[in-house]
Order: sequence, then C-alpha cells, then structure tokens
Amino acid sequence: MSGVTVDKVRVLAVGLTGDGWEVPAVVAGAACRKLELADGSNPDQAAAQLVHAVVGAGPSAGGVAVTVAREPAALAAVAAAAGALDGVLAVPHLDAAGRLVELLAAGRTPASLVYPPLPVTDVAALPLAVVEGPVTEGQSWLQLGPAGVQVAGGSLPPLQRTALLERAALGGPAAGAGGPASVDQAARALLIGPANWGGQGQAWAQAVVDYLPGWRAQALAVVGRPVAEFHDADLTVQEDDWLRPVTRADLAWQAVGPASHVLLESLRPLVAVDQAREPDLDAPGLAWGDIGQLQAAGRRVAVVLHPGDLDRLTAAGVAHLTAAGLPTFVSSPELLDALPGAAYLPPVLGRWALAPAEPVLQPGITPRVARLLAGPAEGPLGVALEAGLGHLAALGLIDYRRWEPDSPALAPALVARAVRQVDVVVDRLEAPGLSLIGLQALAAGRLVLANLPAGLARRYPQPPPVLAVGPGELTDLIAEVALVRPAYRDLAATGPAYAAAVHGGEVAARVLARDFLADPAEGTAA
Amino acid sequence: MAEPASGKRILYVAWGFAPHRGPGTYRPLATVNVLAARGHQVTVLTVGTDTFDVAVGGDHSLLAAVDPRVRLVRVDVPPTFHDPVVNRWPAGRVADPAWNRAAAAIWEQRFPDATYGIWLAPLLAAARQLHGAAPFDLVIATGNPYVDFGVALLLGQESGVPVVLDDRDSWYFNVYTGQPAHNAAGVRPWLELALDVAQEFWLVNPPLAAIHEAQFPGAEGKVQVVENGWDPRFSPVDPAAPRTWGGRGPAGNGVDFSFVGTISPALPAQLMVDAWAKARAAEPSLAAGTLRFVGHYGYSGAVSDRQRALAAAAQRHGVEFTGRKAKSELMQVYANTDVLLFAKEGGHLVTSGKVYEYVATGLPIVALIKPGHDARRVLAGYPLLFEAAEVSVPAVAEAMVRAARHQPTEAELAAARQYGAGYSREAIFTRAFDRLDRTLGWA
Repeated sequence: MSGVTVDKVRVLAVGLTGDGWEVPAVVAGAACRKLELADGSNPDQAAAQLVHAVVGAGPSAGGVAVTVAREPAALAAVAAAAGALDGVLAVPHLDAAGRLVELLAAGRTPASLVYPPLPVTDVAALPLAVVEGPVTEGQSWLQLGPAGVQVAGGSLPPLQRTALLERAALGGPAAGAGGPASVDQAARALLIGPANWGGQGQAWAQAVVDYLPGWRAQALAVVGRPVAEFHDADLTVQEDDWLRPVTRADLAWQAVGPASHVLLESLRPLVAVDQAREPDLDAPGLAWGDIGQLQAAGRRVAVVLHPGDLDRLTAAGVAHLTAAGLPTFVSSPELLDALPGAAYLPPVLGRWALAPAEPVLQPGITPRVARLLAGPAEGPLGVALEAGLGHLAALGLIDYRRWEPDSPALAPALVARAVRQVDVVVDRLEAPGLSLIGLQALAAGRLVLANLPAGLARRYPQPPPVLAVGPGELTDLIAEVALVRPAYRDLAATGPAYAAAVHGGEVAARVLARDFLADPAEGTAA
Repeated sequence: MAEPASGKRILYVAWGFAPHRGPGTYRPLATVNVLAARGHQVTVLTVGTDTFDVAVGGDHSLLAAVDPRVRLVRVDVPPTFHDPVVNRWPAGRVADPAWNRAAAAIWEQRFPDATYGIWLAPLLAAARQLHGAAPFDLVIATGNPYVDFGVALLLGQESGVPVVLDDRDSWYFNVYTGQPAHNAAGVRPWLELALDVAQEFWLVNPPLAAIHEAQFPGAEGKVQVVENGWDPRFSPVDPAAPRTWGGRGPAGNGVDFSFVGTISPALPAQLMVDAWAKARAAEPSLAAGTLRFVGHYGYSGAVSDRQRALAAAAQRHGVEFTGRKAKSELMQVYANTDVLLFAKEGGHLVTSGKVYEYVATGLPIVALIKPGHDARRVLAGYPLLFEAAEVSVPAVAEAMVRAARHQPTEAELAAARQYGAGYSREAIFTRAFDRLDRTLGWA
C-alpha cells in the first residue's frame, strides 16, 4: 500500500498557546498550522469550526489531518471531528503527531493506525464482507453466515468502517480463490466466553484440548470493571475496546466465526449482533441475538451459568433459557435448584493448585485458620462468626486471619500460595455452596469448612471432603478441630485426591462431550 | 571451569525491548545477545512495534543490535493508558483528565504495575501458546515494567518451567528513599510468590540484595547481584585512539571537564557550576578550559526556567549545556574530555548506570557523592579517582584542581581502563550465566 505523502498530511494544533511546545521537524514539514478556537465557543461550536477547518485542509485533498489538542474543550472538539470524519486523527501532543505523520508517510493508512486487527493468531479467519447501507429495523448490523461474516458498514462510524473495508479487501471473499469457505463442523472448534468466570472459561478450554482428541478450544474474556476477578484467557478484550463495533466485528470474524461450537457464559453477548453502537454488556437480551445468529449460521450453542448469574437474570430469563432447549451447564451445583435440566460442569484447577503441600494441623503449631469474608460489609452472621473466631484466637487456640474478598493476596494467581499458608479455611457460610477458593484449599490438602448440606454434596460427582458446618456451629467446631487434630488432619489429607479426580479437567471434558460436543449422529465427541 | 551450557530453549520476556528507546532497553539487549552467543535458542516476547511507533516512541536502529539468532515474538496489545490516539479513547476519557489515574487504580488491583499490568493477559496467552508448541527450558523476565515478571511467574507456576527474574530497579522498594514503594502492599504477595517460584532473583547492586534478604525470608539463596555494567556495543571509548591531555581552549592550555548524564532537578548543578568557577580562579588550566553538561534536561526533557537561567549565567564561567547526545555521539564527547565529573542523586540503593560507563573510559573522575551512595563502591578501587571530601563548593573545587594538576601517565590510564573492563556487561553476564548453569544443573 502506498502511503500518503507528508505534503498531504495537515497538522492542526488546536487551541494551543505555542509556548513550551517544540514542533518536531516532521510535523513542521507537514504544514503544521495553529487553529485558535473562538473564545467562549462551546464544544459543539468548536467541533464544527474544527471540522470545517479539517475538511478544508486535509481529507478533501486526498490527505489526512492530524489534529492536536490538550485542553479539555479543544480535546473534545478534535475527538468529535475524528469521530465524524474519515481521515482525521486526533492526538493530545505534538510528539505523537510527529510519530503519526512519520507512519503515514511510511505507508500506514489512518484506519490501520487507529484500528489494527485483533492479535488473534490461532484461528483461521473466515471471509469478511462489509456491505454499505444502514441497518433497518429488525436487522442485525453483523451477520454470522455459514460461510463468513457480513457487516452493515453504513451503520458504523466512518474510520471504523474504513478499517473493516481494508480488512475485507485483504482477506475477504473478494480476495479468496475457490469460492467462499464454510464453517466445518468436523473442525471441532470450541469457543468459550465472554465471562471467563474464575478463569474457568480458559480452564475448560484447556481441559477440552487435553482430554478430547481432535478438538481445538479457545477462551475469550471481555474484561470490564472492576477487574479484581480478572483471569487471563486466550483472547482478552477490554470492555472499552469491546464496545467499539470494529472490535466486535473483528471478534466475529476472527474468533467466533471459525468456531463450530460456542459455550456462552452467563448469557452475555459475544459480539452483540443487534447493537452497532455501544451495547450494555449486562443486558441479557443481547445474548439471545447472538445465539439466534450463531444457530442460524450452523453453530451449536450451549450456555453455562455461574454463581451470581441468577441474581442478574430475571425469572423470565431463566424460563426463556429453559424453554430454548439449549444444553445448559452450571459451574456450581446449587444452581441446579433453579435449572433442574442443567448439568454440573466441574471447575478445573491448574497444575499449581494440585501441587503437593505440607500436611495441616501439625502438633506443636497453633492451627492457622482463615475465614473467607462474603463481602466488604458483613451481615449479622459475619459479625457473629468474627466474634466467635476472635474469641478462640484470644484464648490462643487458633491463629486467626480474615480474608477480605478484594485482598491483593487473594488475586487469582496467589490463591494457591495463600491457602498453603493456613491449616483451615472457612468458606463463605452465608449461602450453601463451595467457592473456588474452597476448592483450591481442598486441592492443597487444607481442612475446609463449608455450608454444604448433604443433599447438595451429593450433586457433585463425588461428595467433596469438606467439614460441613451450619452457621451456628462454627466456633465449637473450630475449637474441636484445634483440640482434636488427627481425625481432621486425615479428612484434609483426602482433599488432593478428590480435587485431582473431579477438578483435574477430565471430568469437565467428559461432561462437555456428553451433553454438548458429541455429534448427535455419532454420539461421540472424539 | 565447566563448559557453558548451550542449546537450551529460553523465553525472555521484555515489554521494553528494541525498538523501545528508553534507558531500560540496553540491559535486555545485552542479556539476549550473551545468551545467543552461548548457543541458546532465545525467543524474546515483547509488544508490537505500534506500541513504540505510535504510543511511546521508538528507535528502529536499535534492532540492528539484536543478535540475528534471536527470535522476536511481538504481541500487538492496545496501548490503553499510553495511547495518544484520541480516536479510540472511551468517551469518558476525553471528558475527564483524571480518567487515566482512576482506571489505572482499578487495574492495579489485578496486578501491581499500574499502567502496564493491562498487558499481562495478552502476553501470557502468547507465552502459553509458545510454550505449548515447543516447551522452554527457562523463562527470564526483566522489570520494570513488572508485567514481565507476571508473565514469567504465571507460566512458571503453571508449567514448572524454571524462572529467573531480573529486577533492574526495585519492584518493592523506592530506591531513592529505601522505603517500601507506594504500591508495596500490592507487590508484597507477588514478590513472595516470585521468591517461591523463581530459581534466581537478580538485583543490580549488593545493598538492594541485602535489603531484600533482610525483609523477605524467602530471598536468601535466590537473590543474586547482577550489576548493570557498561555495554561494549556502545563503548564509550576507542581504546586504539591516542589520548591527549589538556591543551584545549584558545590559548591551548585548557583542561576540559564533562558531566554526562541526565540533568535532573535533583542534580546539584548550581553547586557544580560554583565549584567550577572557584576552581578556575585557582587553576589557570581550568580557567582556559570548559565544563560541559551533556544530557537530557529533567525527566521529561523539558527545560525548566531555573535550568535555563543557570545555563545562561554559567556561560561566563566557561560552562556549556549541550543537551542530549545520542549514544553513538558519546564516544566523541569522551574523546574530547580530559576529566569527567560524576554526581548522582540517591543513596545507598542507587548505583547509577553512568558510573560504569565512566570507569570504562579510563579517564580521571572527579566525584561528588554523598556518603553511602552505592556508586562509591564502584569508584572506590578506580585508579584515577579524585573524590571531593564532601559535597560542598570548596571541596569539589579542590578535587577539580587536584585532578587538573595531575596529568595521568599511560600506565595509570591503562590501569584505569583495565579496572573498567571488569564491569563490562559481557563480563558481568558471563559470570551470571556461568552461575545460573550451576543453579539449574546445566553445567
């Protein structure tokens, strides 16, 4: 591709005083001009004035305008101009303008500078077609066909449309020889996303690769805020980036398109085919647009729900899911009460979580007890538990520590190390269930106390070897553990074998194979 | 001594790799080149060139310094906090100047590296893919930024591949104050993990090693000192070039001094100028000579009003502020200098990179450093050191006069250069990798 020549690049420094600004030589060569905004002009007026100046200076002559501004009003004006016009780049300082001018002169297009494709290296992209014209009522701006991805470019901001047109020209159907590709069911490619709750999207994908021969699997994580629960995945996209249509079109083209099977987490949308502007990632309805498109395009779709999802989905949403008849999984068995037709998909723990650890409750060492807090502000139960354990600590029976949910020491990568530094982990007792941290504590051979009634424990492939405890019994039970150690040490010692058997990945892969990945005709996944 | 190991597959994680042009780019470059020269298969995992070309600035000529046997894997990642392209900023960022700070604080919960932690996920995903395709025998990561450590630690933790972490600054301590850094509470559990997982944890001077060993029980035996040294690739002197002494200035009797380094706000530049003026009054060869300040102003490169005034006022004392010179131009600066003037802010945890370059020149060095500054350790055995008895105008002037009156002999110059040669990066890294061979059982 040939670049624009520097004499076709215009640099407009907007609203700058000029003092203390060294103009890089390359910028001076690109006809740098100062544009003073009228005093007291509001951002809309300023943007209009700027657009007028830009159109006169750059793009209309086949060139590019680089606009520079750092004061808030001027910055808003250049941002508005950049959003409204193709061929307008906006930067906050002249150094950056200089770098962009050099790259433009070297052959980079404005669209490729602003919207480089996603760094997806492990999927074969299907053709991308960008068609002109706006989206009409009831029509998706982005369509996943069996043979490729089509985007209604007329609905997109100008530079994003140009970016996609450039991609389509490079790798789309026009460039392809031998007709359009089609999604190959025999390709056996699973995509899991976009929540990556507890890192499980990534862990299940790895389990499928490890235990189901012939399968490829990838996880996609759209990372919003806050990110304390952030886990990395094969493809991680920040929510701010995901909101841009060009990013979601790239995802459709490069990550979703080549998948034969999609395991959709938490009923969140992957690409939001119904929303060409900035969608709400939490709106459950958007996922159904994606599901419909995926199914119409020949992909098989399943859903997995995580703890907390039922709080977000309405009863109607759950009913919709049940009626849709999609294979449905839950990552924690207590969710089966609301979704009796679903299957438990066991979380998978990594190699480091399953590594051997020192035995617990050694003679001569005060038992180290950690309690996982349910949230930053505790309810009456938390206050009572705190008082009871604090009393035992004051008596010298235990060495007690509280684990705040957002403690830096409990970042996902650090949990395996944190649990190894205690003997006993008290899981959240506020509601029945066993948390991922509780599972990791079991895997490390710690004694875990959890609110896990027998009926719930039976829903695991094997009952987890936890010490079941009702909220009112905790203090007495911990005191007994501290005083009568050997029996509890033996119970804790069974945790690693349980975790390896149930949470090592093989069970999860077989559950996915049985309920989702198996070819209905052949009845087998592999 | 055993033959060095070779043929190992080594992943080197360095966000700031060429064409990154910051000061932290040279040590990684030297490290991978030494590894390649030892016969290892080195893969560098770094970010895409757009990060440098668009966001933070780069120098593509540095790529020519990379050993051609080294494989570079670049991961294109959104520059986010460093992104100068307003077109793709979220709307809230355009409207709110505090957006960056607030967003970075949120990301820091995930990984204690405020604006770089955002790269952890894409770099780690690439590292996993590379390791899955053909497993590595060793992962080395260099910080800062410490996101590089995160990649190595998580890959090491997951896969069991040995890890070496090279801390060129200090993840946990503020090296200027010796106190825990502002984000130390977040760093501490990660550093504890690092000292669990890593086979070796490198620091750049003995005081930093000591403070880590004192405050982290797991550090003993893991922490190793691998000094910065000077880079023969950017050698400050041509040993073959003949040296002359003095004879400068219009009357041909001047002795020239140079200070080479960043002219930061903490540098006692005014004191150095005043001492020079006082020394000139006492010593004719200095009255005929020039003192040059060669370096970048401040940390941002912007000249402050105070610095501008100082430069203007100092002209009449034969003082010249040249501004920043490219690494390749420094050889000429040293060739045209009789005596070097060394000063560096900081204390016992700071050595400075410049002191190694200074001793490599073999030139006489007048040093004004506070007691306990770690540069003193490097300079202590230097044969041509003229140290000011204290950091004061009379003491520095006295040291300048002493140096100006001592024309070094050839033997003294040779001894000084030989002393400096012991601090070449090649020598330092050869010692480090010989030891690592033994640590890993490769020797």
